[in-house]
Amino acid sequence: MRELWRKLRNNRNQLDEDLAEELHFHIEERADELEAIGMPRSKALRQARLELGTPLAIREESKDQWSFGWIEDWYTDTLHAARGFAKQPGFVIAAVLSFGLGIGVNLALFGLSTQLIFRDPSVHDASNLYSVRLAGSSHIEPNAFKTLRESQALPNVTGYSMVNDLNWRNGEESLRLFGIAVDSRYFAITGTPLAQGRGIDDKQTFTAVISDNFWRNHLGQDPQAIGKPLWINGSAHTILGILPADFRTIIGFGFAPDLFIPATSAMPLQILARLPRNTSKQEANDRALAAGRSLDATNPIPQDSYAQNVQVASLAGVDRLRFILGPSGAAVIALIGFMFLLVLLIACANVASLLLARAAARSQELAIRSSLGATRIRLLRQLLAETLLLSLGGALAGIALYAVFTGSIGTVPLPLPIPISLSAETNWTSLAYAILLAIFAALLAGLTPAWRASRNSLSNTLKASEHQVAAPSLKLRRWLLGAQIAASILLLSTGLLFLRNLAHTTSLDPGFRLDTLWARMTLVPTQFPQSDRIGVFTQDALQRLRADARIESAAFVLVVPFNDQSTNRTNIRTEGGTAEANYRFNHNIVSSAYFATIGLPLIAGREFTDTSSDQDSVILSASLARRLFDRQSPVGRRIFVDSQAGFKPCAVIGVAGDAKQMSFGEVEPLTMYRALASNKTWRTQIDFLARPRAASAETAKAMRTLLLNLNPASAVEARRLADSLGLALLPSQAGAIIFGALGLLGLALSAVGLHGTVSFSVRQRSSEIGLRMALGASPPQILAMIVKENAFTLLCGSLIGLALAIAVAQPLAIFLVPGLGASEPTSLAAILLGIAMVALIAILGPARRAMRIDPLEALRSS
Amino acid sequence: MQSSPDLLPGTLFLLILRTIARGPLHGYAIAKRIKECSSGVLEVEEGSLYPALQRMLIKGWLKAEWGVSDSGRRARFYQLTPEGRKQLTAERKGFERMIGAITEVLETA
Repeated sequence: MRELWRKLRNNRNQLDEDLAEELHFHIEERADELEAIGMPRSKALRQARLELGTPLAIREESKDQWSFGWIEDWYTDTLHAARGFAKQPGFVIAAVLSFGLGIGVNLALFGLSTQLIFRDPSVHDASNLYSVRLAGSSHIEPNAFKTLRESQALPNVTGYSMVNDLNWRNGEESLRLFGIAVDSRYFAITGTPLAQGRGIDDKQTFTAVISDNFWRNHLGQDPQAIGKPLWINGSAHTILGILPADFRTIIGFGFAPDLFIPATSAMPLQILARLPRNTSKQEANDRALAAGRSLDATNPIPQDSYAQNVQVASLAGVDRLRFILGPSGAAVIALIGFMFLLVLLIACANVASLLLARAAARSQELAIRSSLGATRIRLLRQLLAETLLLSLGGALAGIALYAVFTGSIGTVPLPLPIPISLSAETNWTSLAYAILLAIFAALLAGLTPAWRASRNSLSNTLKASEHQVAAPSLKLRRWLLGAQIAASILLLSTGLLFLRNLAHTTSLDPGFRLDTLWARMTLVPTQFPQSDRIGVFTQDALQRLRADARIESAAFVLVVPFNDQSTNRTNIRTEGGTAEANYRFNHNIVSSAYFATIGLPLIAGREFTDTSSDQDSVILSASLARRLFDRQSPVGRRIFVDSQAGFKPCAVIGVAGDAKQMSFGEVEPLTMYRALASNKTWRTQIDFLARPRAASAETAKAMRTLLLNLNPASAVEARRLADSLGLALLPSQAGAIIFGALGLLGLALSAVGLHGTVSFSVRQRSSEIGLRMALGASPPQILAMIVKENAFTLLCGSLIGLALAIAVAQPLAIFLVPGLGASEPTSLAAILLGIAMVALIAILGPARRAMRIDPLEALRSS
Repeated sequence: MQSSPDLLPGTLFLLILRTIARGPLHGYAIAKRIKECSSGVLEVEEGSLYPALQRMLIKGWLKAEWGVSDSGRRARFYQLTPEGRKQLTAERKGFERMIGAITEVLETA
């Protein structure tokens, strides 16, 4: 360290002067001595100089002691490279742009995935905060939770639950909010950071902690917001604090709730536990098991145990990722990361190809340098410094791209039923990642060309003309080209797969009509102290909707297709049908006229009535009816559904067509519908469907106004079902856009690479081509030769790319309509044709140049 | 000029340190003193002497100051720092141990 400091403080000019004077002194002294033994002064001086040797060399070597070794070499190499590049702007732009695109897209993915997935949630010391599941269930009943809070095994337990039915009264209107309801110890135990104010505790009942976004968008950044009331669900909740702008929830995935509120005593909660530092995973598991066992003693659950299917996951690092992603999610993320990296690899291949061409052109310069004493390592370092300069330029371009991305990503609207905010930030980590990528890219693109360029000895190079030296590099460039094509095909094919999936999806029949109107009404709980009053209100609202002239029919639905999900797994026995078996099916509760309203045909039987006579009636989806009764008609028969109170008999009164529940790709959507009268627990959020007489946007508005008039305190959102398919369509849309864009980017880069390679081969073989033409080859024959030479590379690359694409489609299958794969012939053919077209365009320019070669000119110059 | 046997590797620093331990000397005097003390056997090449002096300056073993020589010329005098003195002791011990070992091998083998 001290040595470095002395070197840094040293003044180079002073050092040189001192050394010169010192050596001069040395000569004079020696001359004095020689003079003393009788030599004449002038002869003595000459003799002294001779003895000393070359003063310049001594001075250089002494000075070298003070230099910074490779850093200084690197600096001079970079300067040298920059001077060289200034003369070749075309080469530099191509290389920097290639690197920039490759680094930019990877930075974007890095920034986004860091923010959405990889970073730990905003809590204090996430590593010893654990998510706990007892009895295999994500939530625990309120009574059991109360007992759990006193647990010895888990002394610091708290809980939370997502709530999407908060009614916020804002002046004259109400708005539905998304929140996280938390136990009173949540903020203390998790150590959730706050930008202002304090967290929720047990001192006050009606409180709230709002998000930065809510504070900005809904409260106008009111500096006095803390202490003010928010009317949530009919009660004034005092704002206690504001979350920081970069707050990340425990749920992850960019979930951006509007606020935190205290959980009510009736809410099932998800369990969190803070364990002592350095608790092992096994110990954490044991503690959760112990807590489950003691719960079994105090709050037994029939036919189940809290100590069964116990799952414990830390909220930090890999453990958390494994918990929130699962194996298939991890595979998808790894695959996406790989696809993005491919773009960088394609870019590197481009630059490597450019560097090979450049090295061939300057082989003589390198040979002369090596003859002047530069070692091979020294040359290698020089060439790598050049590539590094290019890739760092690329990193700068990439960072600029990334800045555009971070500025715009937050404004992308996501058609999802839950608030997700996309964000990415420029910070030291992302800058460090950019530099890391640049170094990686420089090594990848630069090492082989540099190794080859530094290998040629002087005698070889000076003897040979340019094309003989360059021959091996052409072979290497072909390899690179093949790899580029393979990678672009992989990307393009995956993009096309998602595009086809999207087309296929939207063309699939959901089973019902998407032009059905849907109104979601979020009521104020304080207005309905007894929840069955909501049932009465629902009936009332249905009557009013049906009375409206613009509405043909209206119905209530508990589980809105493509937006909500409610599944049941239980044993069903049938009367005169199949034997008892376990089924997993969608469960829904609907009012009269539901099937007519949503446009789902009844194959047999009738619709429900809303009276208690249909309390134990069921309507089956065609697929479920087939499973239960095979080909017999189920209408009029009974089924027995296993419940906590034994097998319950239900009369089948109808069979409806199959309707998809969560995605268009479902093959056999088993569904059991029950009547309104069977609904025992009413939530404050109710959903109505309506069939308009004439399709118009006005009817949705009218529906909203009508419901608002019935209950002005409620929050009502009305739209077409077609406008709320985000959950079903987003994976396909996002996949098609992202992979399609990557594929096109890769293809464009490959086209540039192909163009460069063919240009290079034409230039270096101009004499050969000239000779062929002199011997009678026609221009079309020359063109055919060039195409043939590259066709093999392209074909090999394409085949490898297609094979990879088919393999990669496997882990992506969870996003795809069943049966859709990458091996579909027409899309394969389309991709191959597309590649062939692009390739033809890319080689057209150089091929024309080849055909125009004048044989005499070419032969003379060789 | 190349008449003397090669110095054992690493001994140049030791010789320089020892030579200026008695007091500040300039480069020429250091070379001369080493030659004299070794009865003309060890001759330090100027090509290695001056780079070595720079190296030792960086390491902080020496201090250099411009002064006036016996002949009345401006000359650069080198002088041991406390760190240099420590280094001299350490290198001397190491050297003696090595010479001892070599002698032992020569006598017993």
